[in-house]
Amino acid sequence: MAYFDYNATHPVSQKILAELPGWAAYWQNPSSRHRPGQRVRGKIEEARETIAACLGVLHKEIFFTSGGTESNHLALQGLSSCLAPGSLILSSPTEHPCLLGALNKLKSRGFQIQLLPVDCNGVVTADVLKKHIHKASLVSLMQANNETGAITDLHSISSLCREAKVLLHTDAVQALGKMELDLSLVDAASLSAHKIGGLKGTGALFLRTGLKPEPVFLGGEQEKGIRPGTENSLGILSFAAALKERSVLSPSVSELRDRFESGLYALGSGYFQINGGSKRVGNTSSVTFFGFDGQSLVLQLDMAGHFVSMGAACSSGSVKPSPVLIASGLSEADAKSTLRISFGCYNEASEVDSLLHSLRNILGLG
Amino acid sequence: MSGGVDSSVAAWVLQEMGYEVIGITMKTWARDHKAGEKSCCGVDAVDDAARVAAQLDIPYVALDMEQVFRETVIENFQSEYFKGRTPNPCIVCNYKLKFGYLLQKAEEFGCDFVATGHYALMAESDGRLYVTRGKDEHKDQSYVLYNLTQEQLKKTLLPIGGYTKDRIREIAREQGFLRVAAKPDSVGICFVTDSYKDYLKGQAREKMAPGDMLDVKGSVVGRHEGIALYTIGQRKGLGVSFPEKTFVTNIDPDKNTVTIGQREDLLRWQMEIRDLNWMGLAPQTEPFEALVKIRYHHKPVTARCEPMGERMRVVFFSPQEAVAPGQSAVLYDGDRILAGGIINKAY
Repeated sequence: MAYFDYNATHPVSQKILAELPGWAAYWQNPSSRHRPGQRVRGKIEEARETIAACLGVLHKEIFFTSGGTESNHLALQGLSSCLAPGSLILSSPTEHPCLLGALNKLKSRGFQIQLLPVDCNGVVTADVLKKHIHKASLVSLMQANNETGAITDLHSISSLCREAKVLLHTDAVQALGKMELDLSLVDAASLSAHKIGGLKGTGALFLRTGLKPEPVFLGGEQEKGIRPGTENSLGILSFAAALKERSVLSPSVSELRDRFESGLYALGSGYFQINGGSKRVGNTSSVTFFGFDGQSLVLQLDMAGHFVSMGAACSSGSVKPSPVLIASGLSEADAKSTLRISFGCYNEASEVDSLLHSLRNILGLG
Repeated sequence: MSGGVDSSVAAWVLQEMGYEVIGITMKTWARDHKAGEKSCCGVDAVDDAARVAAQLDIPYVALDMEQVFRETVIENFQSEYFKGRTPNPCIVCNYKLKFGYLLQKAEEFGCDFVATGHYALMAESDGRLYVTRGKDEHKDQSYVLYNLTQEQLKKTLLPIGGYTKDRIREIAREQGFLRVAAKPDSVGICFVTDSYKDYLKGQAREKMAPGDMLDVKGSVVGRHEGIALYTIGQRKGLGVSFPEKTFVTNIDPDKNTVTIGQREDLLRWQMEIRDLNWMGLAPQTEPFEALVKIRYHHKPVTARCEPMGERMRVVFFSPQEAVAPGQSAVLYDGDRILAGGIINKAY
C-alpha cells in the first residue's frame, strides 16, 4: 500500500503526533486573562513567530484561519474593501475552485473579474499580465498549481504589480513546503497547515503591514479583529511545528518524482504526456495517459494498492474534466485521461518502482 | 452501489463469500437536477455508497453515466410515451446500462462479474442460465431482469436474492451501515420526482398534441392533452366525469385518440409480444403453457404461449385488465423465468 496523493493532503508529521499529547495541556482559551489562558496565548504567539520567521515576514503579518479556503476568501473579500467599488480584479482560470468561488462573490458585489489567458502549462505569464494590468486594482495568481504543480513566476508578476501600484495576492497553499517562497513579492498569501503535515482545519493569511482588510466573520477581537473566533490552538502549534520541519521540499522527494517520470519514459513514449511544463514543484506529476479512462486507472491502481487521484481532490466526486487542464489546452478526453501523482516524505523508491510496475501492467505495456 | 441498503449489503455478502469486490455507483444525475436529490444515483447516493465501500475497505468509483443514461433510458422513456406506450425504464437501464455499459467498464477494470442488489436468484440447467424469483416474495425483482442474454448472465451475480428485505436491513444494521439501513425503500422511477406526467410536461411540453377522447363506440366525449400523458388502465386525471368508474382502455398514436370505458372494457384475452428473449427455456416453435406476468405488480396468470419467430402470441386463460403495450411480459415456470418480451399489442 503506498500513498501518492500528497497534494490532496499530507499525513500528519510523526514529530507532531509525538508532541500532540503534550499539547493537550494547552486547552484553555487564549482570550482568558488568567495565567493558564495566557500561557496558551504565549504558545500561539510563539507559533506565529516561528511561522513568520520561516517565511521571512513579520509576526504581525500572519493571521490564523481555518485553512486555505478561508484564507483565500479572507484575502479577496477582505482586500476588496480596500479597492474602489467596481474596480477590476485579475486572476486565472486555473486557480483553485475556492478562489474562483471568492471571485464570483466579488463579481456579484459589482467588481469586474477577468480571468487571464494561460499558457500551455496553465500559468499566467508576465507578458499577458502586462497587457491588462493598467486597469486593474488587484491581481490574484497562485504560486503553484494543485493539479500540475506548475509554478507562476511571481518575480516578474510582482514587479509589474508594484510598478502599476496594484495589490498582489497569491494562493501559496500548494507551494508551501515544496519550494522557496518569497513573500516579499506579494501583499497577501494564503497558506494551509495540512498540506505540509500539520493538522487539518488550520491555515494562515499573510498580509503585508499596512493592509487592513474587512473581516469576513464579525464580532470578535481575535487576530486583531480580522479573523474573530477562538483560536485553534493545537492546529496552530502543529502548523508551526510542520513548517519548521518542512519549509522546503526534501531533495529525496523530487528524486522520487524524477525516478517515477524517467520510469514512465523508459516504458516507452507516445502513450503519455506530463503536464505543467518544466517549472513545477518537485513532488507533482500530472500525467495524461492517452486513450485511457482516468477513473479506471485510479480504481485499478487502488486495487493494486497505489493511491493516486484524478485532478484535484475536491473535484474527484464529480467526474467533470479538470478546468485546470482544459484551460491549459487539453481536450476533454485527455483531461479525463489524466492522473495526479504527488509524492511526499514518506514515499520510498521501492513504492515508486512498484507503482511503475502496476502501471505497466494496467496500460498493457507488457 | 446505489447508496441504498440492498446493493450495500450485496457488496458485504460477496466479500463474505470470498470475492474480491469493488464498488461502483452509476452516477446518472448531476447535483443540479431536481430528481437527483430524491433518489438513488445522485450526489448523496455517491456519498453513502462511498462510505459503505470505505467500511468494507474496498476500492470504489462513481462512474459518470449522465450522458449515456439520458441517451438510452430517458430517450426511450419519452419516445415510448409519445408513441402511446407504457415503458418500463428500469428494464432498459438493467439491460443497456447495468449489464451493458457497466459490465463493459467492469471488464476494463479486470472484473469477472457484475453483481447487483436485485431480489432475484440465478440457476442453471440444460446448459442455460436463468433468473428465478427472489426468496422474499413481496420484493421479488426477477421481472426486471428477464431480458438479460446468456452472455450477460454468465457475468452476473445476484447475491441477495436468497434473503428477505427484513434480513437485509438487519445485516446492514449489524455491519454498521446505519444510514443506508434507515433509508426508505425506493419507489417509482428514479429520475421522476413527482408524477411522470409532470415530468413529461416539463421535458417535452411542445411535443404534446391534444386530440379527441373517445368512448368505446368511437364517439367523441372530450379532449385529451396529448397521448403521452395517458396510460392504459389509468383512472385519474381524465378530465371527464361519468357516473361510473372510467378508465383509459386504448391509445391510438396514429389517430391521436385516447379511448375511455368501463372496467370491463379493459379486459383483454390475447396479446402479442416482441423482442423475445429466451432465458430458462431454449427457443421454442411449438405452443406451451406458462405463468405470465404483464407488469411489475401483477400476479402471474396462466396462458398459452404460441411462438411466432421473433414474436409470440399469448392467450390468457382468463381475461386480463390493462394489458399495456410497452410494458414487459415475462413467462415463468414456477419461480423460473422462461422467456419474456415487450407487449406489442393486446386484443
